[in-house]
Amino acid sequence: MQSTSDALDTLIEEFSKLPQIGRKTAQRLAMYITRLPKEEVEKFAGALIETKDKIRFCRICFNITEDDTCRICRSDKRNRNVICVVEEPQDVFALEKTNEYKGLYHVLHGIISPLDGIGPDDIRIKELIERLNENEGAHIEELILALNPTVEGETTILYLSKLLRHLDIKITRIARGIPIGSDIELADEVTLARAMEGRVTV
Amino acid sequence: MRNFRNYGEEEIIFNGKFNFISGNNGQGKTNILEAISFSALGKSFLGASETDCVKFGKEEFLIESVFENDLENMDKITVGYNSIARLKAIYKNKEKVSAFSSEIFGRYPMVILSPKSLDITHGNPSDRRRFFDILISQASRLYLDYLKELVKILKQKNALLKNYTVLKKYAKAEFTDMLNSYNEKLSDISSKIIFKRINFLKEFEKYFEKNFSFLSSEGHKSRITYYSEIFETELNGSEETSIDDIKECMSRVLNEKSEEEISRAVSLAGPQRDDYIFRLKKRDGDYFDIKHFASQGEHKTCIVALKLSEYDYLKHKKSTDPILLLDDVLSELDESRVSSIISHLKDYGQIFLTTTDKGYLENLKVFYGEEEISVFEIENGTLINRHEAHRHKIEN
Repeated sequence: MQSTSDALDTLIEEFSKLPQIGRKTAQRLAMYITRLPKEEVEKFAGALIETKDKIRFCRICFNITEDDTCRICRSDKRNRNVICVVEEPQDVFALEKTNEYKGLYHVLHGIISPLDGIGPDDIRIKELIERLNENEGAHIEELILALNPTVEGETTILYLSKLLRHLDIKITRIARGIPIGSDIELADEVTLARAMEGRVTV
Repeated sequence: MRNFRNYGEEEIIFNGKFNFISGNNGQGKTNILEAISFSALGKSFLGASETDCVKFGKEEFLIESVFENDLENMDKITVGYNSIARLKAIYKNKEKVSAFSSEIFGRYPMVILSPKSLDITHGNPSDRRRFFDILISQASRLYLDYLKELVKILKQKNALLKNYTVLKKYAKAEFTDMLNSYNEKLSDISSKIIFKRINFLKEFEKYFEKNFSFLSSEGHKSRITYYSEIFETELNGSEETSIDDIKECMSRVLNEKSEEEISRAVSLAGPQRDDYIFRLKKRDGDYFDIKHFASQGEHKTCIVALKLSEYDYLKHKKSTDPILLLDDVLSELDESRVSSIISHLKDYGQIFLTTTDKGYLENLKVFYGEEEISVFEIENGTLINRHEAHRHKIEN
C-alpha cells in the first residue's frame, strides 16, 4: 500500500524491517511519528544513532556495554568461579532481574543451527574456550548452560558438553519444567513429560 | 458450504444415525464427505490441496458446520480458504484456531473407509506410518509433539551432513562433535517415538484380532508387527522393552551407519524409516506378509478390520462415538464383507455412506428405523431431494 508521501513510505518500510513489526503496525508507528513535535522526533532519532555509536560488546563476556568491559565483568561483588552461558544479551537482562545469580556471564550471540548456516565458528564459542583456559586469575568451577529448550538450544548444549568434557569443570544446565505459580493441569504435555524426566529427590 | 468443489451454495441437515448419499459417478457425493473431513480434521481426507477444492472459476470456498453431541452441546466450525492469498482460516465458535490446536485435532474423531484406504496395506511404508501416526497422535498429544521434534532434528542433521560433505564446511573434530550431539538427541526422541508405537500396537492388537476374526469367514488370523532396522527382529508389542533399551539400540545403529551417512550426506536411521507389517496366518501355516503374498480379498478384509479397529480404539480413547465415513465401499470392497459390517452398524454412531447403488437402501432398512436414515440424492453438485431428505428434521 502506497501513501501519498515518499518520505512516509520510506519510514514505513524501515519500521516494517524491525522484528515482530508487520506492515500495519509499521504504518501506525510512522503515523504516530508524523504527529510528534519536532524535538521529540529529534530525541528519538538521536537515541537511535547514539545507541549504535556507543554500544559494543564486552571484551570478556560479549554482553552489551559502552566500555571495554561490562559492568558485570568489572564488579568485585560477583562470584568469578561461575559462568552462565546464554544465547543473547536480553537473556542476561532476564537473569539479572532475578537478583539471585551472582556469577559471570558469557553471551554466545546465537545458537548452532546448520539449517541457517550457523556453526560453532559463527558464535562466541571459541572465545568461551579461550576464557576457560586463560582463567583470568580465577579457576572456573562451574559452567551453567542457560540456553532455550529448543532443538537448536539442546543440541548446542550437547555440543558444548562434548567440547568441554576434558576440562575439569562442572557443567550444568538449567532445569526445564512447570512455571512457578501455574497449575499442573494447565501445562502442556511436553512440558509435563520433561518435568517428569527432570524430577529431583526431596 | 459455498463454492466447494462442484457445489455452489448448499445447506444439508444430516441424520444423527445414518446418512445415505446416492448419485451417479462424478455428481459430487464424495465432495460432501470431503467437506465433512475439512470440518473435523481441518483438511481433506483425500489429501487434496485446498486450491483444488475451490469451485472452478471461484476464488474461495467456505464450509460451515455444526457438531452436536448427546448433551446437545453445539460447536460451530468454519473453514474458509482463499486461493489468491493461499490462506486457510479455521474458526471454532467464532474464535480463530489452528488445525493442530487441541481445539480441533482429535476433538471430532473420524474414521474413513474409502478405496484409497487400500494404500495402507498396498502402499509404501510412509503410507502406513502416516496412518498410524495420525491415529496415535489423536490419542496422544505428546506423540504428535515428539513427531514434530523428530522432523526438526532430522532437518538440522541433514543440513549438517550436507554442509560438511557437500559444502566442505567445518573442521573434522568440530563436525564429529556436532554430529554426535544431533545423534544423541535423535536417539532420545526416536526411543520415545518407537516406545509409544510399540505400546500402541500392544493395545491396538486386541481390537484388530477381534475384528479380523469377525470378518474372516475362513478362520484366518492376522496381526500387525513393527519393523525397525535397529532391532534384530520384528516386534509385535508382546516384548518387554524399555525406552532405555531402544535408545541403546538406536545409538548403536547410528554409530554403525555414521560413515555411510557422512558419505551420502543424508540420515539413514530412525523411526522415519520404520514400517508396520501386516501378517496373515491361514489355519496351519505361519504368519506371512500380506503386502507381498495376500490376495485382493485378503487385503480388503485386512483394511476393513483395520478401520473397524481404528473406530474401536478411538471410541475407547476419546469416550465418544467417532464419525464413520464410508466412501464408495460397496463397489470396491466386496459386498459380503460390507454386509457383515452393516449387520452391526447399529453399534456405531453417526455414519455417512456414499454409493451409486440406490437399491442398497433396502438392505439397511432392516437395521434402522425410518427416522434413523436420511437419504440424499446428489446430481451435479446439488441435493435434488431436499424436501424429502429434510422431512424428519423439519417435522421435529
